[in-house]
Amino acid sequence: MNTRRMLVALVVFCVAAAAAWTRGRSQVGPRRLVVEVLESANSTFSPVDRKLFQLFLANYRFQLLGEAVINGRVAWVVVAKPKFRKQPCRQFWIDSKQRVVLAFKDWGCGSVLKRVEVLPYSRQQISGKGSPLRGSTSLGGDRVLCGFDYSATPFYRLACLPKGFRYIGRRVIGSGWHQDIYSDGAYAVSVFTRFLRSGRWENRNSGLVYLAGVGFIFTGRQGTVEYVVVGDLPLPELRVIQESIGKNF
Amino acid sequence: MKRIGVALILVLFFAAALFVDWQSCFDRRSNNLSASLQRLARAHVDAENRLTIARFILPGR
Repeated sequence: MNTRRMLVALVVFCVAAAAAWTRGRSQVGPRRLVVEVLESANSTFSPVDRKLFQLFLANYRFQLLGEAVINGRVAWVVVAKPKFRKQPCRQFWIDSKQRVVLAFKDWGCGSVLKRVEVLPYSRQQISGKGSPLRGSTSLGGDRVLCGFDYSATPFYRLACLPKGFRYIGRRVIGSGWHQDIYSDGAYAVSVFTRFLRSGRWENRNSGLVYLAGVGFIFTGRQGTVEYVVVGDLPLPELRVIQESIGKNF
Repeated sequence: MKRIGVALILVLFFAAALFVDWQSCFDRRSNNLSASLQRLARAHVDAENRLTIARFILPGR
């Protein structure tokens, strides 16, 4: 009798466990959702794509906030929070059937709402002009720049990068400026450098400004090189970059 | 003597005008941020759209 009861209890437990397991399997986790979106968005991954993908998954944790309806489509609301700092963070609305992003919100540092987009996306520009990019775009290899890599770029040495950030590449923009791009997958920090050739500084004053929708902009000079650091990260982290450039030209 | 004085003042005025950084004056008046910095800021936003996972999400990239 006792054995029979135990057997029944075991069967009930097994059925309940199996039901819970299959239910858990049928629900898609937020991380899985994001991976599906990224994979469906790009059929051919270049090395840079793969790197950005891995950086994003490594540096962010994902949380499913619930469901919402956007333009008549049911969407999962997923927030991507950085692992190494509180802000900036980004919230996505992902179509529950087609696994595409329907909208996103972007919060900068200081909880400033930087950007709200409901897709289909129209290209955002700061002042409505065309892209200033021209010249070549060269993409570098994986370089960890925190403290031990001093061969990253020919112009300057970074003593430290914010945690999670990696060197993505360099490109040439007009008027002698070079742009070095560092990213944690979701956000970028740009370090612009320019050699003084014609005897005229483009940015006369060193200092710090905050530009809405962009972030902090540090300008400075070291010898015959002027540099500008742009990014939306906590100020101490950006200051480390700026100071390390100033010291290591 | 009077004419020479006026001519001298005019010459000094135009000479001073040559040394003024008019470009930066216009920049400051337009947006409180130099044209150069605005251009770099645009390049940064472009990089953030093209060289982060935004390139997977935003169509047309």
